[in-house]
Amino acid sequence: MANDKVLGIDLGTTYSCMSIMEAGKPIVIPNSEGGRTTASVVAFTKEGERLVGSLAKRQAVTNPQRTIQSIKRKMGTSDKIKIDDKNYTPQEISSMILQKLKVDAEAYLGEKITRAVVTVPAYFNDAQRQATKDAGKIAGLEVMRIINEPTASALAYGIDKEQDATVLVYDLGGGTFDVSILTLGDGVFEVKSTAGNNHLGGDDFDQRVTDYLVEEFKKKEGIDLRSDPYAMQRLRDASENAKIELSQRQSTNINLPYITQDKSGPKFLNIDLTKSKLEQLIGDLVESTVGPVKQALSDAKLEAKDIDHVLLVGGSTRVPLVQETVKKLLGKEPDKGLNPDECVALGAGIQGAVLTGETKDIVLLDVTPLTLGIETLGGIATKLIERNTTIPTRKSQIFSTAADGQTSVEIHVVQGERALAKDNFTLGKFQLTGIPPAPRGIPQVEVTFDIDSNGIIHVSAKDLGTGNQQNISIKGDKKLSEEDIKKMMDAAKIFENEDKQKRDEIELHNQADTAVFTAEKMLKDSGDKLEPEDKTKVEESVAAVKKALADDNLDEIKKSMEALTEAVYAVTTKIYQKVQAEQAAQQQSAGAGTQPNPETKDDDNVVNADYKVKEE
Amino acid sequence: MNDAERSEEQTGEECTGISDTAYLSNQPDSTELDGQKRALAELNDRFLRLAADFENFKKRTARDREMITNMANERFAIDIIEVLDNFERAVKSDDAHLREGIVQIRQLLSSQLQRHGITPLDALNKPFNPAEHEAIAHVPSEEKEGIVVDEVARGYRMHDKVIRYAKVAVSKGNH
Repeated sequence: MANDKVLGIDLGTTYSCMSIMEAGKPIVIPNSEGGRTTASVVAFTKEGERLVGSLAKRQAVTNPQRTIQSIKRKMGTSDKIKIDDKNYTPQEISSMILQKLKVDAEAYLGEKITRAVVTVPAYFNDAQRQATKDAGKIAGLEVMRIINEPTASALAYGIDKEQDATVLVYDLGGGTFDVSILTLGDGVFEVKSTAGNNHLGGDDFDQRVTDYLVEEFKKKEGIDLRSDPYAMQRLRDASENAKIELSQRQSTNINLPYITQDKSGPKFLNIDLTKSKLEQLIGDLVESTVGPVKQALSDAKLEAKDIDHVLLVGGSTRVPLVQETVKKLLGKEPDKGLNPDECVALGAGIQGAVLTGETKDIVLLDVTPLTLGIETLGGIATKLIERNTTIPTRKSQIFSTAADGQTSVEIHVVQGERALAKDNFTLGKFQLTGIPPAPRGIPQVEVTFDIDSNGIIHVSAKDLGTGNQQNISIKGDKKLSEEDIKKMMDAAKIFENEDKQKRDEIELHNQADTAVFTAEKMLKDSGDKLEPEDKTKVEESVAAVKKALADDNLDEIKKSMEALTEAVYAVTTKIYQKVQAEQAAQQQSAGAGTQPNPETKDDDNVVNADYKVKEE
Repeated sequence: MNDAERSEEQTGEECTGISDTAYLSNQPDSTELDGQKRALAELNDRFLRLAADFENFKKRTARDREMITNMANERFAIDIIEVLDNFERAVKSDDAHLREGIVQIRQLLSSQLQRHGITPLDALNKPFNPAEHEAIAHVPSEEKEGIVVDEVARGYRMHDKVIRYAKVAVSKGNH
């Protein structure tokens, strides 16, 4: 029984969705066609085959009498659906949808599913709830609990973890609109009021866009596309896409070449639609959701200010105008982060796990609210542990010295998302001393961050050469408030570009500095092997970079550094060629193995090698 | 960086340490209990770290997957850009050869799509099949009932998956 998972099902009017708890988190299970939602459509073909989901939807036009849509509206009634000689109850039709979900979930998970939690609208009466439960039974599912859709959303958002709260759920789907107000007390949600409109949704928005496009085209070309079913099909698809795109952009282009034709030839539809035009087109529809929200508030004897959480559910709440309207009406930013099409199903999945006690086994682990790192050359904050990393965790990285003969390093531990250490919070500082003098870049200092399960950060720095070690522990009382975190995230966003630029500048400085150092070292180590003119060239290039650095001229630094790198490459290539030739000669003289390249056997090489040996 | 190794080492050390002490001091009860407690704490820490590692692994995989999905289009995009290049050439060229140009560009695009496993579905005059087709009209026709008589938009398959259903008109028969 340990593996006996409970399926969470959002049995919707137009679409259904399912989820299951996996390793402490609810996940959506895709159906056999790969869709994360399944059309709530059932069809019986003339051949007696039963189709469910998108298959049924795509054949609806050819088979309207035997295709059943929106059966949810009939749940709890004694209506029968007659197909050929057989009468089906609404729960029997619903069970076919549930059964497809069950079978697809079993295929996906590779295990039998026998239990489920199914959601229903908060306003469903006992008969409707019983019918839903029966539908599950017919499908071979024990419905462990029927829960309210708004409650499921609240669970998905984790609101049940609070002491008490008042929640307003605004659910605008494809064809239905529901508002519910819930109160949470002692871990139990209670529905205070519900309101809505059973026939309002995103499909109405699409229709408005289509109507507008038809009118615009008529004005321009004098042709009414309504009489052309093919053109209308393309228009409807384009309208929905345009609506979706305008949730992200300020304007979109509806481009339908060869939409139709008349005696003068083919006609093209090419219309720009702005976000504000869309809002004008759907404004009254969105406005019509205000009444039910007010109604729900007054039925619950509450005011907007009493609402602690506003949840937006249903795909149509992606429309910015909807979000703004809700925000203005309630004076509150809605909770965000979950896919509005999926959050009801996710909540049902959570409820399923709660019922089986599965959630008790979950280890609740904290995450780091902000990035942790240390200050490195030039004041850059180098990240070690990224924000949102689950703790306990540990990470090490090796650093080195920035100057020749440097015998100590300062470890400045910072927390935050800004690029420069000085803009982040300082958690602590300590010195690691006693590093034996060495050229820069040679000593290896291993810095380790270890955050234990209590949130205490242990930072240690170890000189790998000597084994010397220093450390610091930063206690949890330095924990940041929600507000501090928010401030930091906001600042990081505001200064994103500026920070990146500063960081790039410092990194460029550091790179140039290193390039100069490397070049000078090479001159020192193998200057005697260089042709005099090559040597001069490198020296001149080094001087140019140094001057650019002193002038702090970024373009010049970049250019001179590239020139320097080129000069150094040219020289090092020559050195390597010489070394290789030497090695070739040595190999040959030692008679070791066969030479893969016959050319190296020729006399020139031998002479060359001889010459170099003398040179050494 | 190797957490598992590190804690294993520690556990090993402490276990030997404890049993030695227990032997010498001859106070097995309390020391053994202390040892057990410590061992439990060690084990719990290892467990928590493993759980956290798993969480972080999941987060990283999700991030990687997002990046892979975003970049998966790159090669495809490069091929499509080539098609756009040719359209730009066509727009600049004279009208007389426009048709010839478009026909050739269409051929190019279609072979680019094929390179990426995208192939058209044959719908016309075949029996309607909702696994490949989406019916948008049901029309009287000389054809047998249930036969696709018109294709408004062609369907496409990418490898084995139908990525766009053919939008079709289906015959009602001629009654």
